[in-house]
Amino acid sequence: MKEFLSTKAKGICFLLFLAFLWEIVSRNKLISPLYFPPISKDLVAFYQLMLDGTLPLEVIRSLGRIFGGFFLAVVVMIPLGILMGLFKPIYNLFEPLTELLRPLPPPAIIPVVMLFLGIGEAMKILVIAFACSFPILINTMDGVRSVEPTLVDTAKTFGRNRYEVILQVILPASLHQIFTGWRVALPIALIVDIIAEMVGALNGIGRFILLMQRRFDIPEMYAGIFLVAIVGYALNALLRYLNRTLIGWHKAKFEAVI
Amino acid sequence: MPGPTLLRAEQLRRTYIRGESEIAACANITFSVNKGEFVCIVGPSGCGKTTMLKCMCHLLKPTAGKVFVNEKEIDRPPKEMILIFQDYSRSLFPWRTVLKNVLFVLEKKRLSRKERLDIARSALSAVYLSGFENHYPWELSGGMQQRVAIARGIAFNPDILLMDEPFASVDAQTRSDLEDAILEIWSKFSQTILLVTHDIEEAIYLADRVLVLSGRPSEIREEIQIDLERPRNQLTTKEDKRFIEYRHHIYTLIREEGQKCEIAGI
Ligand SMILES: Nc1ncnc2c1ncn2[C@@H]1O[C@H](COP(=O)(O)OP(=O)(O)O)[C@@H](O)[C@H]1O
Ligand SMILES: [Mg+2]
Repeated sequence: MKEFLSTKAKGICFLLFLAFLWEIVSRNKLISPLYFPPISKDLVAFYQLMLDGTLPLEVIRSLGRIFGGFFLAVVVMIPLGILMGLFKPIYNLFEPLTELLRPLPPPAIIPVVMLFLGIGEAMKILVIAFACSFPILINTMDGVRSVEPTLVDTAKTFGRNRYEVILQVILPASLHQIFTGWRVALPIALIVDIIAEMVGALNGIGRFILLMQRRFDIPEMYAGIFLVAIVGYALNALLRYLNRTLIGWHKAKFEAVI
Repeated sequence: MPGPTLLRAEQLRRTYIRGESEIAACANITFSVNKGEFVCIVGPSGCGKTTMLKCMCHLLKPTAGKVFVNEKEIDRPPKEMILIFQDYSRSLFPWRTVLKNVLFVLEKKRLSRKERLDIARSALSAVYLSGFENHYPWELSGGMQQRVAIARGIAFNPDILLMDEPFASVDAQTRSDLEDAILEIWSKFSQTILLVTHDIEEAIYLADRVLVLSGRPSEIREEIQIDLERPRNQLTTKEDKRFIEYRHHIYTLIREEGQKCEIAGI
């Protein structure tokens, strides 16, 4: 614990040092302060934009899209992943399609979706859902496939029917793998959301950053970027929290075995 | 005093398909188990014992043959009979504590919460695991994990308990402790037990009746009534002249089977 604290403290000191360097470099015009204003200015802009509600409003809209798309992907892809993992015919039906779509970088479909749905919420949610789908689907499928067959047999011998086996054995046994899918998908959702907002949106943090750049409000632009970083960090913290509460046993078992 | 027939297998056969060829794991298995009996099936490793047990409780579909429980033919895992698996460590739910692993088998029974807890606790104490309720299975030793699996079996209180080499992978001391624990549970709860093992002494020590399997594809080669007093004792029973005669006889049978397999190139 002590060691952990001291390493963490070291990391924070380094961060402060970099911020200080930024300030110096900018103030001494080593890099044009026009494009690279001193961090103190950026932070002031950040503070003001947070206070007057501009940034919170933008970020709430972005988060709405991120979670909207993410949950859409979860709701569709987890059941599909379970079915594909359990039943060969369903796997054979969907596998070529998913293999074809998977390598497609999600931003590539934005123009198509825009044709049909314009630049509204539906477009962004759909693109984000598309991007999240594959990590969620593939990890769910793998998780289901690697469930220990003896566990399934155990549930059957103790009188569980097919649905109970799925809910009480397959799902908890593959949860950590399903979760891996989430951990991959959620940062992707953030990335795709920012891109989608830059390409076509009336609000949201991605559009805000681009707009500030075009208006040449550079400290405000950096303020937006800071917020995206914070959002990314918060999403990660949320995942870590869920990981601990949902599948703490898995980590503990892993550590016990090692 | 043999009770009514509880379990009957009739011409049970199971083959595995591997590529082009078909391997018969067990062929033509016919036997029955009476209520209250302790029956052991003994056969060499790889002769199809696990396959046979899984077919008995319909976790595997038999290629041919029938299984009757209480004279009713079964076509799904029957409620009256449960199987304790050979690879016990894989049969325990790692996300459930020991107590919750045992409670798992009671969740579908119409019982109050308190009754469930009482049954689970007493099953755990019957295998000397009181105090480990809140441990996770992977925090326990192999022998303890196996006892959790056994506790689950007895908490369920089936009419008949099938056990697949339950003591095969524990050390000698734990093994004799577990053998005696099983005998105690068997007589205390008037269980009916069908236990499969590759260990001849274990089979004789535990059973009322020993069925000797042939090599693969396995059939019942011979049936031997064991006339040894109960309660049995790890020392005196195993020193008994009759015990040694049984062992001699069964050993010879199994060796013959082994030689037959070698000649046939199996
Ligand atoms: N799923 C399977 N597919 C193909 N062959 C199998 C399978 N399971 C078991 N076998 C074969 O069937 C034979 C009997 O296996 P098993 O029933 O596990 O024997 P035992 O329990 O007596 O050791 C072995 O030769 C094994 O290789
Ligand atoms: Mg076996």
